[in-house]
Amino acid sequence: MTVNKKEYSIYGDNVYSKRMANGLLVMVVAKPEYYRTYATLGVDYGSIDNQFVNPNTGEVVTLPAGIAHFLEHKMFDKNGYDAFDLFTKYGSNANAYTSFTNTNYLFTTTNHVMENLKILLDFVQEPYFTPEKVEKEKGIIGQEIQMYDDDPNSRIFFQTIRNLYPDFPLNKDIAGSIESIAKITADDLNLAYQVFYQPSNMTLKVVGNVDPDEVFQFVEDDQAAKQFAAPVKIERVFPKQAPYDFTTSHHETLKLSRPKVAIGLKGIAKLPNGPSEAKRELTMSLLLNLFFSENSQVYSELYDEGILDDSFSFELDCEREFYFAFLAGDTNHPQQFIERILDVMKTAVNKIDELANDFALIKREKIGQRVLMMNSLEAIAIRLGSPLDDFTNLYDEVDIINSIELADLKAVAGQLFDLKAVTTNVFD
Amino acid sequence: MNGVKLNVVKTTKFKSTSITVDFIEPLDHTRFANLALVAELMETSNGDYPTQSLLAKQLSRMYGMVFGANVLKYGKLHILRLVISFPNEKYLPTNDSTLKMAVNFLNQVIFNPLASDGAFQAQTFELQKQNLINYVKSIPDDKQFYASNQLRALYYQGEPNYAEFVLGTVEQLQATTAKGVYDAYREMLTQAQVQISVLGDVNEQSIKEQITQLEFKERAEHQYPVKIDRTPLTKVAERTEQQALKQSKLDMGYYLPVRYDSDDRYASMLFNCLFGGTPQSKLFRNVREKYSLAYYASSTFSTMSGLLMVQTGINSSDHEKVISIVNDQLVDIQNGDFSDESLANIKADLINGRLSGLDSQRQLSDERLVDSLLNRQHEAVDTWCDRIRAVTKAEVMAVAKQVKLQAIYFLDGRDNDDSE
Repeated sequence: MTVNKKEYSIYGDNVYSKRMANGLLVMVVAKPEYYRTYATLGVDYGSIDNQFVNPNTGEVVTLPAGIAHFLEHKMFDKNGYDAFDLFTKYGSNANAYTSFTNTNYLFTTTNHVMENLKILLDFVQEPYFTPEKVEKEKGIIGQEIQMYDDDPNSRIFFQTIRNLYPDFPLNKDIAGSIESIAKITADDLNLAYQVFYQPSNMTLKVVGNVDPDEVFQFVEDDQAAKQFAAPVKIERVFPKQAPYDFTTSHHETLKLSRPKVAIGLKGIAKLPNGPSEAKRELTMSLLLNLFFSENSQVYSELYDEGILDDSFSFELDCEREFYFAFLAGDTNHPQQFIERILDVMKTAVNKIDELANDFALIKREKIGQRVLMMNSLEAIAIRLGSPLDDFTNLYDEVDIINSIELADLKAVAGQLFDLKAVTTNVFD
Repeated sequence: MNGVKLNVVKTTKFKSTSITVDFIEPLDHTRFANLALVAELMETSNGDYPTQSLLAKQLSRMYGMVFGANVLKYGKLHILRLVISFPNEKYLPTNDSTLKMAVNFLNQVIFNPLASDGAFQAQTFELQKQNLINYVKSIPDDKQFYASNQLRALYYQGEPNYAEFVLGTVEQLQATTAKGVYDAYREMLTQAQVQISVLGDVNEQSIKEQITQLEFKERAEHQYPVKIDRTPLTKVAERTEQQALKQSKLDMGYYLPVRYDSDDRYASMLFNCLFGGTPQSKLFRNVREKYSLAYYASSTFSTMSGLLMVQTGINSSDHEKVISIVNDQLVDIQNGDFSDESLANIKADLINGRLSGLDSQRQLSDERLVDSLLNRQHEAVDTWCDRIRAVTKAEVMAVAKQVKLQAIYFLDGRDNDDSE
């Protein structure tokens, strides 16, 4: 196995990667001027992956919603100790989070990086689940679910995603529900672990005050000294979707002081694989910025009319199996807000040519923002890419943004602003 | 220049430069709403870029500079803060100095407001006023934030400078006028103490040349007091509010008579981390891990005010139980019921946090500001770490014994209507 090195001399940073014999991928960016090191061990397993082929029986199983997140919580809880405590000896901070498609375990430290790496690899690579421990966690996760239930921003986000994907596991909260987590057993956790927590389904990223060779050598030795269960095939199962068959509008009355509005755009057209995936994603992101950022005409009009304010935001989420865009804000005029935003989408393709100057500004801004991100170890680690986009990273993004032209935007606008793929949501 | 200070920190660590301009004056709650609007107006428009969209476009043109204006409280001080961060041109497809662009932009923001005849432009003013009112009205939707504001109000009853939220109340905002806010702006511009901090891979000489381009005038120099004094309440103030929620919030305010210049300030930091300031704290370990009563249970401590605040999110019916568990943790620390190992771990945690801060532009810049506000020498990082390491178990116990409960605020989420 050789080390792959990507050099970015203008920024003075390099990205190194190496795959271990057992399939674990390790990526390193050295930042010698920093005190800190940030490391994250990511598992390619998230909330949508709860249906798969059980390698022991050959049958398709469906585990309760929230299982990936539950597993994340329980990984720390070991026989007679808590993995958190091992990090605290060095004063390091450990944490973990679960998304739709990923689980990440991470730490930041200013000393003893290798010792911390060892703790991280050890606790994630060694399962220990008991029925008692599983029962006890239900109370804590129950409180976590309820906390988010009281957060209207989080609620409108998940409700909008649910409306877009009624027959797809995105319709379940990442944490699951009080009812679904009640069903989780230690056996479920063991099965999920066996299938998804294989070294070949994980990536270790280390960014900060480290020597890449030392990290590779250390991980190589560590992995060689460990026994792993026999590899099994990962076969995720997703229900067949009827892409245009979903709830197009939703309304709920909560006790809010101001109404909240959200608009969801479901990605229907398939995205390409490899480097062109990264370009497609950045193109969609520039497109949204061109029409909806603070620079845009509609933002300025709605802002001056008091229909939206700086609570307005949008995001684009492109992951394995799906992509969607989400726009939301607080407004006293929900209907006008929705109509005007949808109007912009209707006519966007024909407007693009007139916006050449605006587009040049947006590109400048996005390039500058990438440079600012290079100060953040976390931002660098999060943007090291994935097999989906052939590991396009933060440093590559600058050149890609530079290469995007109006014609690229037009090609994507027709797909993303597909009015048949829109859902609207009002909470008041 | 009198009343205007410049701080430059040169470091090659970052690919960007940040400039912070702080306008510092003593807290006066009757000015909160006015100054909040000054910040809001400065952030969104000025004479050169009269609409938010034109201003946003200018920031994009300058390679996505990040610009913000905020108001904050710092002990007895009120600060209106402008921050602009921007990439160093070394990493951009341009040879123009981004520093020059940024200073020029700040000059427009500070000295060329969108105003004439002694008042902000009416239409823009009304819009920003409405936006701010909308925002303040929506705070109760964020239950955790709302509860902590209510606890503060209860703890500081009768002291509006500390009890009131820094953006002012809805009523105060409603009463503002384009002329009144302009007067507040002029007063701030001519009388507030100004502190400018520049941090990045910069040449000190060219910074000084650039910063003199800012058109500040001399003003009387002041070293305002920062420390908040307090006479502890003899009786605990309690308040319960009912709302239909899934999760109740229980917040508690304690007084700890330790300040940033007390000898036991290091012990007080350790105490707070041990009590509720970290995931290894007693609150987290017990309220959450041991009894599964909460997803979050934490404490924060300010050496400006001596306020030790506990925040938890719990089930309504556990309210009494949680209060008693929280107080038990305090008693445990007072009695020395914690291991040397946990104390050592917390020291490592604090030192780790301190060193991590040296990788953050914001934190490096803040450190310098605080030294200047407190009129003290910069304490070397090594010295600070040594002082933390030297704290003993007895010192932590002694600090814990000085803690006095002052206020309990309970946002009771018992769902009285079953419509859900």
